[in-house]
Amino acid sequence: MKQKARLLWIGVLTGCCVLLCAFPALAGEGDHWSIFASIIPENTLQNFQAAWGKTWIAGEEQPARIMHIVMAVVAFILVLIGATVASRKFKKTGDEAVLPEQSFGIFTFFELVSDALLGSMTEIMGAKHARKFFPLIMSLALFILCGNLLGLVPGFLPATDNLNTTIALGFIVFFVTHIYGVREQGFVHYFAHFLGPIRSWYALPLMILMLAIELISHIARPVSLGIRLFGNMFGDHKVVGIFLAFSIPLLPLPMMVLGLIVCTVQTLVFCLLSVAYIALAVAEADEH
Amino acid sequence: MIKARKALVVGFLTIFALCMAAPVALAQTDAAAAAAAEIAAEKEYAKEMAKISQSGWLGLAAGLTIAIAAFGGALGQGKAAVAALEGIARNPAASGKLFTPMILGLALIESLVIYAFVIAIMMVP
Repeated sequence: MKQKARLLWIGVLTGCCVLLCAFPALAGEGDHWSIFASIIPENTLQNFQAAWGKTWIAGEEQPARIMHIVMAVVAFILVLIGATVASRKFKKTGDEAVLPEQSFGIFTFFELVSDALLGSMTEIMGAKHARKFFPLIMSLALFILCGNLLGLVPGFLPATDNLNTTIALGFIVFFVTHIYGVREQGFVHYFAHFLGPIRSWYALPLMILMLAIELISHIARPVSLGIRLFGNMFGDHKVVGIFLAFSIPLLPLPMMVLGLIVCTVQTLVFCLLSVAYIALAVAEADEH
Repeated sequence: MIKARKALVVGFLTIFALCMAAPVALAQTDAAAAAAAEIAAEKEYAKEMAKISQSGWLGLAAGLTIAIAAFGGALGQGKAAVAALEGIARNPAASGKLFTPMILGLALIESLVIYAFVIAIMMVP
């Protein structure tokens, strides 16, 4: 019975992919086509674009793009549904609650990712801080993973294809590092770290230099996190699109395999770097 | 505790739903949208004309940017891969432990190439 259900699922998904690829490429004014461009009616699209206004990238006015926002909302809803389904395990009682799952399901996937992430975080941050920041890092990892992987499905875009999304994620990490750093070490003590190792009146030039360097490196962190993720996803998506344009059957497949690897690695890099930044901010090993 | 968390989640989802519904509620009327679109179209035409005269040099700059960045990035990633492979060759049992830091190192080196790529695609309209 399970075999039949699985075959049915595979058939349904293949049929959906074929249908999606059969849609003609609708190009709205500068907005990337996705399946939602055919589903959402034109009035709604125009109303959204008019209400959100124009955006500027590199000094040039671009029409407001809402496809990426729609994809981000889709990724969010998918992660929410996945987490809700996976949390059914916690409502079981008795023997079922402690026995491991019998087959690879969504709970096993969540368990794998959580285990790996918590292990890495404990190595970098120590057990106590790892438990505290685990929900944030896990949510970031799941959202970025889901957003990236959606780009490989025909008819969908990676939500992280857009600089706005990724810089927003970077700024979440930025605010978390500074707020928790101040909370752990006190306002004055935390910002005294910006002045460098020697803090006396005779080291004033060094303090000024260290302050400049620290400020620039702190601002470069969320920006670099965002641009790294954006550049990888945008480049990958564009390359797969170019390979698709050749119309040779099965040609984009090797690029999509590379795309799978890149999606996972970029999620991992984003999360590990943000964990490292948070660890630096809340570190208690202070010999001062 | 559980109730407070539930209340927090419900409140967050309400705010999220309101943010999603706001553009629909605050949409412009059709006449205002048409007038705004005309002004935008005129500005767009002027910009197109200006772009065409510069696009040759910008194309050259974008090409050189990504070429030099890819060259430097490939050299750096090659050195990282060589170090990891030599480590595995000396001690094949450690290949699992070497894999993750190698991937991390490669991704970080590649991120510098990605910065140059982003600048290049911003140059080319």
